[in-house]
Amino acid sequence: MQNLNFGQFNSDSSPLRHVDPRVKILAVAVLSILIFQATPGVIVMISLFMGLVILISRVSIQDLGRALQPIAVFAVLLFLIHLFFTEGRDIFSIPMLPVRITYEGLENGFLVVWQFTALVTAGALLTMTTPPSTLVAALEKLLRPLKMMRVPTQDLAVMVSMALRFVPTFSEEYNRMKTARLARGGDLKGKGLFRKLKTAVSIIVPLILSAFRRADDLAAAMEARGYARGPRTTLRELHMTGRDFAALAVMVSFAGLTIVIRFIDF
Amino acid sequence: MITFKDVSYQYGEKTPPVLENMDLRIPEGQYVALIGPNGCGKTTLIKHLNALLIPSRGEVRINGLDTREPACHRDIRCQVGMVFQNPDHQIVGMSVEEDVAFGLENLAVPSREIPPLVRNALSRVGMEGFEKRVPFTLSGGEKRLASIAGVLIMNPRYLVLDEPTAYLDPAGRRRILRMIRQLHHEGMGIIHVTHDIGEVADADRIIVMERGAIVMDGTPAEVCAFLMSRDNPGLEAPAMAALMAKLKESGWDLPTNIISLEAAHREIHSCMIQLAKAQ
Repeated sequence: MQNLNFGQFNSDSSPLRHVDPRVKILAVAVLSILIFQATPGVIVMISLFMGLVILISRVSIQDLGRALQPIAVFAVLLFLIHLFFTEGRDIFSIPMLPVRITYEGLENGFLVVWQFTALVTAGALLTMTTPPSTLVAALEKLLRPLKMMRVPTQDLAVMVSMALRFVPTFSEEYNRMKTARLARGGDLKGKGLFRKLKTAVSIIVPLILSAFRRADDLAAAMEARGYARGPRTTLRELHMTGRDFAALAVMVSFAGLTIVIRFIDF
Repeated sequence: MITFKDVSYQYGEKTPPVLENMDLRIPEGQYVALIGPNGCGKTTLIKHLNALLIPSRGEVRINGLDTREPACHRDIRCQVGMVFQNPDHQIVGMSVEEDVAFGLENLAVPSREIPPLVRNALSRVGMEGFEKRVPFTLSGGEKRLASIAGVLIMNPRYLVLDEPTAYLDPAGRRRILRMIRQLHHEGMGIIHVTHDIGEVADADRIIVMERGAIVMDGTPAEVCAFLMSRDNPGLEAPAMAALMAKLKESGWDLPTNIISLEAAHREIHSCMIQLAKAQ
């Protein structure tokens, strides 16, 4: 719950703020594919490109670091797993014990950590420079073709925005319940896994129950304001401008170039 | 005109009815207050006004539209705006403007027409400049006003408010009550649910509910006299009326069906002038 600030929109002044969110989402999607196809040349390309985007975006490095913090443990863990469990040429091994580090392991470890970090950075850049509502509007637009397959894309978009809208509310409620427990002499810093679990359950169960109650009220309020199946519009209609097409063009040519390098590199 | 014809409602087949054989007519433009103790069926009644609940028996019509017809629900919900008790449970947008726009989005109003209407609705409740604010960071009173704006934007003919002053400080309360009066003057029908008869002294009509039925329906003065005439579990006679009754006991010649401070002041003042003249 303390990490609610993870990748949250806070860069109203960023030049990326005004790029059409659809372009940004597509860019992240393309980057993700490229990141997983990485060869050494591609790694250099993408790293340089992302460094450039970070510079242009004027997102503070501290904020970006904070977004990456929660994944640090996973990254280290992934690195160690690859380091110790990859077959190949030994760098170091303990005789008689199944502990060995290989060149391939080291290489794989670095690759995976880079992939992981690059992915999260791309995602964080997207969410930090795009207000959540715009992001939802863009998702809805991008998913629109699925409508032909009877996927209720507008309902999905409303659901996502509702989930985002309730994050701060629930975190407030969680804190309120914690305070209420403390006020009645409850001990939140109990030692031992079992006690910690018990404390967590005693707060999370009422939190979930209250969420259900709230959902009921919310559904009534939405219906009362005319929410129903059928055509809807949105407050924000997205329009591609020259800048957006330019950004899209940059992205497409970068992807093309990377793919070429990928095959030369192979 | 809102009409209830012999309406009964029960939540489950085996539970006792929450509303029983209710008949009610509310003409357009009237300011109606609905009072009664907790659990008397006020909220159930108002949920019938915009088809959130459908009567188990009888019929509810809003300007002729039958709430039992699902095809009428959209129209009904445009005509009767509903503001629930807890604004935290009804704000759906991530910013004030998005929340206020929600109703219009549901009506599929073209995107470019929405922003000026949002600004207009916010200015009607005195919240100009709050468009970009995050609802979560607003005060209780501001949240309430924002949720009222979200209903007003649909241009309803009736506005239903469920305890609109609950959890508010005196300033927030005054602000909401002033706005309700303003909307009524502009010709909107108001249905105002409250526990405090003192805040609806200038309603056209007060309905008192008890155990799922209407026990009194009259002008504020009539309802006040009714409340003074009996023990009311869960309902208090207005403080001013109680004061007048005490003064009457001490020999002052005063009416007891007084709700507002202003009226009480007027009566006591004229009584004192008469006393002075007599001496």
